[in-house]
Amino acid sequence: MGTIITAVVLACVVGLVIRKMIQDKKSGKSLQCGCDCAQCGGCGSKK
Amino acid sequence: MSTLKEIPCGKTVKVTKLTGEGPVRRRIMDMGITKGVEVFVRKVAPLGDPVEVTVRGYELSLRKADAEMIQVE
Amino acid sequence: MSVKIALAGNPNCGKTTLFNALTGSNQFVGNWPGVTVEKKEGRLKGNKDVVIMDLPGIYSLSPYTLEEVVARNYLINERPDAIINIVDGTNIERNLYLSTQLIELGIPVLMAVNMMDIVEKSGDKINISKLSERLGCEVTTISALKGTGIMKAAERAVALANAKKAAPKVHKFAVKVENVLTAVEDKLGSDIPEEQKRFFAVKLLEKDDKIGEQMKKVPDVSAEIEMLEKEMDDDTESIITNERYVYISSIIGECYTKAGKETLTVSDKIDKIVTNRWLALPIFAVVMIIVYAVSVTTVGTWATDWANDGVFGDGWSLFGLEIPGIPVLVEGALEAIGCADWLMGLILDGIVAGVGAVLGFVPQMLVLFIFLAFLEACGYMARVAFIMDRIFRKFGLSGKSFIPMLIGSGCGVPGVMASRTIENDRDRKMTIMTTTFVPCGAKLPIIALIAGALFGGAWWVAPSAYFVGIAAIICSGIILKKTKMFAGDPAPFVMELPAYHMPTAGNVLRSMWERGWSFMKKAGTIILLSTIVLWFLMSFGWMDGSFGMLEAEELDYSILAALGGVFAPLFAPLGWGDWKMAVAAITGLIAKENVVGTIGILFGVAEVAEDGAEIWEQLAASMSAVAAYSFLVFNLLCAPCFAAMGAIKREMNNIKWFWFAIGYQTVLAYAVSLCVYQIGMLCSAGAFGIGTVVAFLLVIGFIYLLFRPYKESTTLKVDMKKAAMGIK
Repeated sequence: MGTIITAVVLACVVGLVIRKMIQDKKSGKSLQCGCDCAQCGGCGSKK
Repeated sequence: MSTLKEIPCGKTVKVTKLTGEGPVRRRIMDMGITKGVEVFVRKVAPLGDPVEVTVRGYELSLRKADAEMIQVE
Repeated sequence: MSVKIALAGNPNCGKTTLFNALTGSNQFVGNWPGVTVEKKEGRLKGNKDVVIMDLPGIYSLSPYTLEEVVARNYLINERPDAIINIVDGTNIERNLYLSTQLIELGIPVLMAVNMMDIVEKSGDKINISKLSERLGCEVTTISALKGTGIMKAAERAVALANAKKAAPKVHKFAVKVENVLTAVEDKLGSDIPEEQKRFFAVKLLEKDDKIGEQMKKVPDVSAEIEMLEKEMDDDTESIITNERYVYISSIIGECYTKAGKETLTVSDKIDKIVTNRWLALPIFAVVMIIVYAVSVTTVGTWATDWANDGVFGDGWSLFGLEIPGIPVLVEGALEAIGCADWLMGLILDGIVAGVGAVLGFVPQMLVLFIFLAFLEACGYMARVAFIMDRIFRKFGLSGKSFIPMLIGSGCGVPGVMASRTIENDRDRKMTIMTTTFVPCGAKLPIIALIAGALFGGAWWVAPSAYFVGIAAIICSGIILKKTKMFAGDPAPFVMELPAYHMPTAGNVLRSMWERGWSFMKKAGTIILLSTIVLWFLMSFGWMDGSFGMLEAEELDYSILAALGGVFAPLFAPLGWGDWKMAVAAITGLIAKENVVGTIGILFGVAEVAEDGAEIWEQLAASMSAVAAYSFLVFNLLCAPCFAAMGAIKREMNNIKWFWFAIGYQTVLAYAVSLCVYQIGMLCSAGAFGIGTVVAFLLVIGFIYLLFRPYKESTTLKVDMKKAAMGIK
């Protein structure tokens, strides 16, 4: 029982992370950086 | 007639002409070093290059190689 | 209906501060000319219909730097409804130079004279109504930092935008120039709107080679140019620039009154000491030592130990209260709900160990980021460039290269990005290629691991890693400078030295947090996924002819071992042909933090501290000290993590240059590691073989590349204009 719950929770987390990464990729942020450091502005970060 | 490169620290000189061409020259002009302007040589960097000058009320640093393009009197 | 308002002004005049105040967004503001390198967009607080664009800081609308081209193409093509031209009141003369160009664009301009509080404090006076009358645009005063007058300025800009009335052009040059300008304007095609004609005419007259791209038909104006040049005995570019400044000087006399006596400002006094001929270098050295002593050794170590051994370890105590570490908590929770062993293995040995190794490093990063943010915001960075230029120029870089490298010691990604402030194409490419040689924050754990496991924590290992990085930068600079790719014109180095000011705590903390947060986000996404994948690869494999899950001691049969085995021979000449080390180096490409994490997982310890103390013994047994140092050198110099590679690709903006950079880094890393191992083995064990011969040949080749004759060009070629067009 515990195994199933944990596995489901883990799968959800991984799914969300992947979705987030795909979204970032689509919005052009990719893996460049956190896209927060306006220091570089390299990602044209929009907040 | 000499160039800005040869001017010692603490002297104020007047720009007479800019030699050279292209982006560097344009950049120097854009920063306010144009014909007739007064330039005060403020200090030289610890290693002898670049120099810091006061022009039009602010501090500007430029290399001696670029300062050579600026003719002064 | 939405209104678009662009913020334009000189670098370091307070644009980003105003942008933040108007939009409520948290862009970091640095006291380093050129912090905004791309345009940013935000919406006006309280009026969502108004879009504010923050353009990069520029001195002019000339075609020579990337920022200037970005800004002017935006202004010409997108045509915002109004421009707020921010003018630094303490440096009004040079700031007005850009204003005269902006007004020519035919877009309504509101001039906002910033830093009024400082102007008033110094007793200077600016006659606003006179300024407005002479320039022909509306003028208002603001203090972006204190927030006074900014909303009023925004309202006026919106009103201007809605009225759609461009400033009547009142500024006039000398009669001769005006006559020629009118002649050129008449030649312009009908595709240019009436109000923009003056701008295009001026640009054509200046022989601006990028303006043609914005026009359907480029009229031939060489006759006019020739005539004017003959008449004024100068080239048109200088004539126009001169005319602008002459005009500005005439305004300044009327509108600006200085307080009188020239007193030394606080900034001047600080500068006198900080860039003093004798004191500058010692002060610089002391600042750097303080930054590293605090962030890397003392406070940094303390914070990292706490995070790794406490939060991500067995637990820590808060005022005598025992708080268990996260792995302990997770294990307890999983056991309580009766989770299967394999899943517990995945979570504890895989995720918690891998992600924890990265997160444990965050406190130390934050300390370093505070220092970097402070140095950036107070104005010292520009002085560093000033002090260091002479040295950096010796190996083909510019004083400005120091900033990317300093930031690169935190993280290579913003470091590479920061290289954008370098105007010269050659210097910038060289800086991008070499910045990641500086051991970044994520490489520190590798250094700590190797130092601890194989050198008994010897004090010299960490400094030597920095030394290797710096030597790589210097040697690369010298070698690359002599290659055909980098042979070219000497770089200009014309830089404003902004006045010092005390950064606000909020600004510094914000910058620290943003950079730190991006680290944490990386841990939560890419590193989380890679640890899971890694765990699967090492937990499953073929044993005795069947595929299945493996026991811990059967690691050698895992998929990972098979994959690593393919690459391992490649690294054998470097002394670490063990598949585990090969895998560690390869996972380092995902993120350098992974190297230690991978080693931790592969050597079978649930969670690894920052310096990997738990696995020191196993590691020491698996390789010699020389091999370990070769491993360290390879990881320091080879291609950086994917994130940094992405940044390099983006900044190079050219696939060929990107591969050249990555290839160069990897080849250099391989060659240096090979030499370290082979020559090290010869000295320590007297081992001699083909590898040793190759190593010596490499050393000889390297020395040749370093010292081969080379003649630096001292003249500027006009081709730079073409080069500038080529990179577009």
